[in-house]
Amino acid sequence: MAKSRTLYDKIWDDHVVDVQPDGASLLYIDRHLVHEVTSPQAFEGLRMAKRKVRAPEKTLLVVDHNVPTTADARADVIDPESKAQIEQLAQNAADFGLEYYDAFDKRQGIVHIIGPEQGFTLPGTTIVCGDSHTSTHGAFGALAHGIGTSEVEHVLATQTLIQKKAKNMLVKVNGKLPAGVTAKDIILAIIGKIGTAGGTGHVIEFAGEAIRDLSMEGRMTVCNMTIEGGARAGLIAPDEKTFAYLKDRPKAPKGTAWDEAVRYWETLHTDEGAHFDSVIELDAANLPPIVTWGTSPEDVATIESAVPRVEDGRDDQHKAKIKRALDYMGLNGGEKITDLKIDRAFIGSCTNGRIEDLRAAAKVVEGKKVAAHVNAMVVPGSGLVKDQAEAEGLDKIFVAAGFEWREPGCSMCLAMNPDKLAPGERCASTSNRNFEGRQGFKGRTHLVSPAMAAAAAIAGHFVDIRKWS
Amino acid sequence: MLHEVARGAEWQDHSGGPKQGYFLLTRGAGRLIERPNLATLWRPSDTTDLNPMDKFTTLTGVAAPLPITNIDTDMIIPKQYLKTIARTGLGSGLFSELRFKEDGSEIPDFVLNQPAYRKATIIVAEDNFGCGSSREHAPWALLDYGIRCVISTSFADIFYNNCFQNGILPAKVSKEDLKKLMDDASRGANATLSIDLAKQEITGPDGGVVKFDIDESNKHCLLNGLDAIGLTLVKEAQISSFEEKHNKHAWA
Repeated sequence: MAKSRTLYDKIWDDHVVDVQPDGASLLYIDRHLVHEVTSPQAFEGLRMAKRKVRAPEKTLLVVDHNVPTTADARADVIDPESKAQIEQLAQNAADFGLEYYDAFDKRQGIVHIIGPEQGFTLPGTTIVCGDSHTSTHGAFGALAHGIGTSEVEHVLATQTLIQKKAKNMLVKVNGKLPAGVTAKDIILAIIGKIGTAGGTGHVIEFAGEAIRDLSMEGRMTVCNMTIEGGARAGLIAPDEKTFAYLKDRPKAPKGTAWDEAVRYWETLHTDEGAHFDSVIELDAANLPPIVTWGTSPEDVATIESAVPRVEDGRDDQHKAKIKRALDYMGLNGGEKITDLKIDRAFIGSCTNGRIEDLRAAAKVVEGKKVAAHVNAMVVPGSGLVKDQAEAEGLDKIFVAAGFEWREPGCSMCLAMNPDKLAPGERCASTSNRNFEGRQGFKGRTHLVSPAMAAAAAIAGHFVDIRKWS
Repeated sequence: MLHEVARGAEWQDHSGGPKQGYFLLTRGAGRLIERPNLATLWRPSDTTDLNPMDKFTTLTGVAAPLPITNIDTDMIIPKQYLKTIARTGLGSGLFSELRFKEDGSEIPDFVLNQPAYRKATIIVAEDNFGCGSSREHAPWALLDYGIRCVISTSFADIFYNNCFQNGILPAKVSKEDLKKLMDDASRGANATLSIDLAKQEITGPDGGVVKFDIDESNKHCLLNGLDAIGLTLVKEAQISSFEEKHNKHAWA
């Protein structure tokens, strides 16, 4: 009888090329996604060493971080640095013979949205990208994580990565989510519970009824923000929903190869009795909508609660952290979350820029108007998401309500393009990071679900989506 | 290579005096032109001898205290500096939102702006240093500024790996020892620490010795300045034979 293994153990074992005495392993990489920001220096390194890309067919390039999200600005990128980075990616694709989606390709979008959309992301594979939100692809039962640029170069040159095996953590989300409470609230609650370093050194497998009940889009939201809990990779065992999502995608296997793949994928689950180094449980049934109040994704509050005060800190270090966050966020502490007025609303990003997210937001805003003092925008995660939304008439609902309807890209999630907060602006954002300056110099970010961001845009302040009518 | 050359700009090196000189500006550091007062802080003379593949054996230098928890990579190097296509020149953007006001002038209170710490080569910080974005620009910025070692109780995984690719030592110490080292680092002109990687020891200004953790393979690569790609390519035959079997899977 073979030893019981976790899902992570199984994928890991299937990809080990070599193990050194101290446990550092050479891991084979099946899929490499590349974007314009973290790759130029890697390609430059290849050129200097006269190295080729080892497996061009396992490499996919797309431009997302720098591209403006209005049609005019896309056609003529003004920022010379952004333009150079975009052009460099196209040049690298041509020089090294790699598949590349430019800003005018329908398949273009945020790298973590297009991978699954194209069927490039498959269960049981190892996937890397020079981007920490690569954890998103774990929703398909792929071992996927972010890497640095030197590692990007390493993968381009060798199709492998030197890795130490991480520990196994299980996060079990039991029960059924109440109406209005979403995958975003689940992952924010988990991060609030374990802290931003809680998963450091671990791969987290998400399981339990509430995770099984999530759509693939919801599962991607959960895995996407695994990195915000410190774990480089999140995993969800593939099931019928996974297979249904992937079937007939352009890069997914076809015919008998599909059948063979599914037979393998069905073995990708944690065995009974497999060992986890730590186990966390969360009850979904009692979960309220979550809003972050501070400058770390672990700074979470429920919609029914208030911003913490400095004196709520556990010790001096924690008090200092709360004070720093309150000062930055322009808060005193003690304010009710529902009293926080916003200036901006941003719906999009690799966390919440998929069709289901846009449907949820559209449902909230249909027939209503964005508050007079709020600027609100919706940025679809890819050209295909945009097309789908337009086919369903979602764009018209958003525009009628006063939202801007944009072209796909990373947009205001990280403000490397023209979309950014002005100093002091407070934003209800569906993105993944509320770090100081993340969405713009001195910008103030509150992370929420798409429905919560949409409702805040209409009301002008945060509201409890469960009471929305 | 997309380099611009700024000529005759005034800048300052670690020894303090203003100098006339040439230096290379990368596109990322091109921000220097927009905010010329930053140029006075750019210190190419200190960093030209820092190469990612330089060996790391011992280091004695000024340690700057950053008593902040969860210092994320957006804080270490904000997004506007990520538009470079080079690895160098990012030192000017290191901690820029903590170091500089909106008009580009210095925030005097920030530790690296204080006279005693301008020459810092070591940073001492609270838990979970380097969390967030995978940007290797963070270690590139640290290295370009002149930082060769960061001491904390814990590091985020991706940042931690990125350090070793760039010859930076991320030294993990216990909570108690970090408190000692944070005190040591707070002594201004006397905040000098000595690090011995082979012995995994940090010696404070009073001679007190603290041990730090590092695994053997990372230690070996740092001590010998090894290039990971070169090491892996030695295993080419193994990779090829793995790949041949692996590629037969329908899902691979």
